[in-house]
Amino acid sequence: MTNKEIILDALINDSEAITQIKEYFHLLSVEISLEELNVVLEDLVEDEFIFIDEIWVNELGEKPYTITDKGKQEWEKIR
Amino acid sequence: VVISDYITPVMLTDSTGYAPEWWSWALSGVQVALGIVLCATGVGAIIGAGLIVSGSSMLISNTMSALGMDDRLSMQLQSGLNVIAGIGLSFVPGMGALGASMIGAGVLGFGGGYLSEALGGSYGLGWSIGTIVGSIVGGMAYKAIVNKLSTPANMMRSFENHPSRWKLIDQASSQATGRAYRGGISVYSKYQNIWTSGRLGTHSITRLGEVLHYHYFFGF
Repeated sequence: MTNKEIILDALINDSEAITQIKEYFHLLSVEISLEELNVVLEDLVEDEFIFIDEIWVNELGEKPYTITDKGKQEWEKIR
Repeated sequence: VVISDYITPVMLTDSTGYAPEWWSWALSGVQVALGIVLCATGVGAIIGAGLIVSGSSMLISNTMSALGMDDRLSMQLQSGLNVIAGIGLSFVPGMGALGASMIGAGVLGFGGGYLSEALGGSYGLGWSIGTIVGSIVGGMAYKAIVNKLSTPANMMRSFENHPSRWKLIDQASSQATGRAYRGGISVYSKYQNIWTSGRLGTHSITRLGEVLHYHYFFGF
């Protein structure tokens, strides 16, 4: 899976903040830096696959990302 | 002697010559009304609640005075009752703000009366001002303490060390379908602190008893 696909996979169930998304990469034994992850997240937001949600903040004050319908369709392709 | 005969308690209505004057009744009524408006509109709940406490205290004190009790004694009695009731309410979940406001009203009302007298004013005026200021200060102090306790770090510590102080207010679970979580159960739980009303949420994904994912969330 590409980094974009891993992010969509991490968000397919629930909204997650960047720290939790990075943990998902770790769980899959994929190394990614925070800077790199930020760039991919920004691309995904720009492409409207995900958006920054306001439903909560985590203990670090980070807002979660939520997958869009377009993102879900994209995730179906990698399933 | 003649004047004294007129104002001494033939009718038991003004035993000390300090029965509540019109401004005292008006002030207490205005406070309660303004307090209700502030609370109902959400403009200033803390100040509003404080005004309701101080206004009610003055109303009760005025009533006791009007019924023949020494007005100074009625004020001190009301201050004492405020402190006692306030301490009691501090131990009732969800009533801490009211309790703190009453404690503040009682303490500063009591002290305000003596301070006013020491400065050459009347006990009643100092008590009234002290009660109003004290009720607001008490409420604000409580709010400040709650804010301090409601930072994410403090709430997480409380949740981990004192779980009985948190009640579950909402929970939703679903099957986890992400590749790394497949076969697991995703659970969102929302909790509220019974003392401070602070809110904290947890999100967990577990599979066969193993916790794959766990984090807190706030601000919902």
